[in-house]
Amino acid sequence: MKMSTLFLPLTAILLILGLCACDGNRSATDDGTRPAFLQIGEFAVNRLSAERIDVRDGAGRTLVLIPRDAPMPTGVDPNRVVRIPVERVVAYGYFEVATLLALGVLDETLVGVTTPQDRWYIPEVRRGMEEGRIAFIGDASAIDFERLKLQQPELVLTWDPSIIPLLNTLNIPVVVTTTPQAMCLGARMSFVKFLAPFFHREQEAEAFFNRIDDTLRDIRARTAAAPQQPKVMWGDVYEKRVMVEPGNSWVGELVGLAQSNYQFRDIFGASCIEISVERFLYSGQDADILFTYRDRKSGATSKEALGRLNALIKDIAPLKPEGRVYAPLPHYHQSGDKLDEILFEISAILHPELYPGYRLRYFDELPDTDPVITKDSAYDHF
Amino acid sequence: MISTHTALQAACLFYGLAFIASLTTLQHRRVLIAALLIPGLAASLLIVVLRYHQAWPMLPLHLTPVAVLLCLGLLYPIAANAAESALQQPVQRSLLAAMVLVAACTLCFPKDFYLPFVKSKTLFAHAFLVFGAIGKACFLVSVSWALAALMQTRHAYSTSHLHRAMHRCHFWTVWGFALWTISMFNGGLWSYFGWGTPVVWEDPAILTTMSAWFFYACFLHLHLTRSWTLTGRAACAVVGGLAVLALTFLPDLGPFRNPLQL
Amino acid sequence: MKTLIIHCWHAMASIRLTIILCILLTLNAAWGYFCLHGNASLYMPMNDMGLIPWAKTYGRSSLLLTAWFFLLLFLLALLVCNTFTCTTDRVYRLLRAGKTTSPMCLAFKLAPHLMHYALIIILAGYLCSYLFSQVLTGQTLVPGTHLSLPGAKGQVTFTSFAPEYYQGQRLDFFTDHILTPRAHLLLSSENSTREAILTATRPVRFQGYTLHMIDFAPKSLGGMNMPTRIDLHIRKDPGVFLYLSGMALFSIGLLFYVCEWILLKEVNKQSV
Repeated sequence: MKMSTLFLPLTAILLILGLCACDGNRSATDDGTRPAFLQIGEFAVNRLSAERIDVRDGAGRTLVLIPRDAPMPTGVDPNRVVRIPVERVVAYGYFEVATLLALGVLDETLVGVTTPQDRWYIPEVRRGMEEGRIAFIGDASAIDFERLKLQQPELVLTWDPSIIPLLNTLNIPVVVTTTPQAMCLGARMSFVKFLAPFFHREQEAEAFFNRIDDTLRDIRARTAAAPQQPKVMWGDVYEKRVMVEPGNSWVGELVGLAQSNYQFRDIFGASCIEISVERFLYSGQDADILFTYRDRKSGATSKEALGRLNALIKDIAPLKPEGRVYAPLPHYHQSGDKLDEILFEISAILHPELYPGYRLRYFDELPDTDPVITKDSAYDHF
Repeated sequence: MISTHTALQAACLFYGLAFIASLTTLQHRRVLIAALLIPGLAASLLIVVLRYHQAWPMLPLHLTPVAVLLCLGLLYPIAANAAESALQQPVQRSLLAAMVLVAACTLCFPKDFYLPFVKSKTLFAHAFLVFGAIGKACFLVSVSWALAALMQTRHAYSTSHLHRAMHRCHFWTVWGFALWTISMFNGGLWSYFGWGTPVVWEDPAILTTMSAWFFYACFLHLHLTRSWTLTGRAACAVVGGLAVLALTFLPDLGPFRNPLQL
Repeated sequence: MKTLIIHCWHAMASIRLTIILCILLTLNAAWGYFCLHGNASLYMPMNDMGLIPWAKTYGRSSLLLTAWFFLLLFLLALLVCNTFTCTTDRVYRLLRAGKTTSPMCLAFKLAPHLMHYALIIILAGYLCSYLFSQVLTGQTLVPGTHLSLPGAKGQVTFTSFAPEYYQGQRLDFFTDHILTPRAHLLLSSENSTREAILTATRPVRFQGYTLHMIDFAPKSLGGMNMPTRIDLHIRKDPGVFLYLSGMALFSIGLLFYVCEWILLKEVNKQSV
């Protein structure tokens, strides 16, 4: 048999299959508006029927969402069944709480947090704690399970899977909200769509997503003709351990989208991924902007202070007088519901010339040296 | 203490000089090449030892290009050995060119900044690297012989040279294929013992490895069935071989870095 | 009908088809590399949910990125048919002629065919693994807690965590990091109880299941006050035995082939 007689039909079959494959992301819909299957980074929502939604959390666990009055599905671990809409939630992290706020369910559903009242910047949480609706259930590393039980949560949102065994004994389902790989920009802005089915808040999630999408369009349009592309790094050195945001993280993608060069765009992996010191220093040689993980409380008061904290990094370009260093303000981590504003601010930091008069709200530009505190200025703090 | 970057610069320099020496017509060319290859080889060995010393018992990540460089240096005396100088010279030159290319790519596109991880603390991970590197070096040697074979096609008198060159090409391909397969099996076992799954999708290198395996399976079948002419097979070994081998290097190369910077 | 089957058999047994399939598979795998790069989260769920559910969800919803994989399955299916028919043809002929050759010589001659059959077994093993595996993901244990295996009367208790730490100063950042996360387990069944040590690269087998440590905490001696835990994936994978035996068979075939090739062909310096 000649080679060409085999080759032609095979190539034709492959072409046809290839063309069939190119009919795009046409996934079935249950009601014509929502996709039956939605992948959000490592999370997923699979609407099997009007009565059942399967979701995959950050740890790859499948949870089954069913209406509150529906019979228990067979063949499913009861600890992985969540009755929706959920009415009482305990949330470990700021990100989860901010997402509840974005969905507009915080006031009605949040009953427990792992941060004491004085460290909250979200008025709704502070108020809830004052009124006794929301309880501090202990630090994440030392949960008071008696207190947790008293709050009678129907769902716990956590980044720490170590509580799962104990919550299983209490028959409380758990959703792990962190993933082994860093969340990309798409996953970050779509995360609300993952939590929305738990509360029947799909419309709110869609509105939130559209708001962020509009902001990204605006950033793209504004920065399209940016006169220069600053070089940006996001990370820090802790003693001899270097942690950075990889290129597949939402910040890495945002920097690229805003016509800037992310120095770690080739790095792929988890959020806060550890890399070698040499690479950090090499990338820092010609970087313009550094976003540090540290805030004022952890010593990021000035470039000089950062250099003192870690002598290894004192010679990188952003720490020089012509460079720029930004530290998050304390409320930044609790502002996930204002993701559009954060994205906008980052873009304004990258291209100040395109955002004249913009005042920073989530980040702080570090001065070269710590301000000298005189007797008078010290009094000003009070 | 000497860094891996400096050692790589030295390796690149010595391999480059050895390649230049191979292009000359000096009387003691072979001695000169050997004298330049030895420090180059020592530098490659030093990089492998340094990185292994740091990471042991875990696997130093993305070490393959340097390991291939070392294997090529070690295989060079055997690989480039041929009775006829008409074949020996092009093989030597192309092998040295391959070494310079690999060294230059590793120097300009380093990917040595990922830290070793706990799941790589297994014998299978190390065997995956070692067999893979030797296999890849064998494939590069086979490409050199195929290139030498192609060069013979210009001369009417060289049919026997062509046959001999392709015989050596096949010899190295078989060794490369065997070692590559063993490397893949070790990768499979590492995947099973580490993650419990047949495939670890987090690492796309599995597909470049697979691509090279299918290509060489194809080449061996071509050779065994003799369905193509010798020249056709030689061209396939050179063009296809270089393409798939370049692809297999891709996952181990990082962003551009100024090679002259200390 | 019989002639049609024979015709199909011969068409399928063509070695030229093998060559074409190998070329297509080479190109397909190269295409797959670019699709997989940066999109691992699209494929990772296949390892626990299995091929069919994955194809219906992730595979279908991102066809532009997964089309290469479906093509790969199609090409591999063809390759298996081609390899089986082609090899069987040749083995049949060899065995018929084998009555006159010595057993050793026959073994050497059968070596390449053994590799071909082994390849089919490996691919069948992988397919079985992705079709019939039963996987329990995200099973977290803290010291003192236990879990029950589904459908079995076995119980796994996590008794203690005795990690081995990185020694020396070779890697600054790795000082005090856990190098071997060693979890002591108590495996209890109806009749017996035994202890086992689970590490990140050494799974534990129990009542037909294998327990794999996917993650653990804390990662270092200080460990940011993280509570001790191990995350397990529990798998019942009928394909493992197949693909591991396939690998063993392939290796034996390869060994015989290389021996024969070195001993006979290289010595005789046969022409190419």
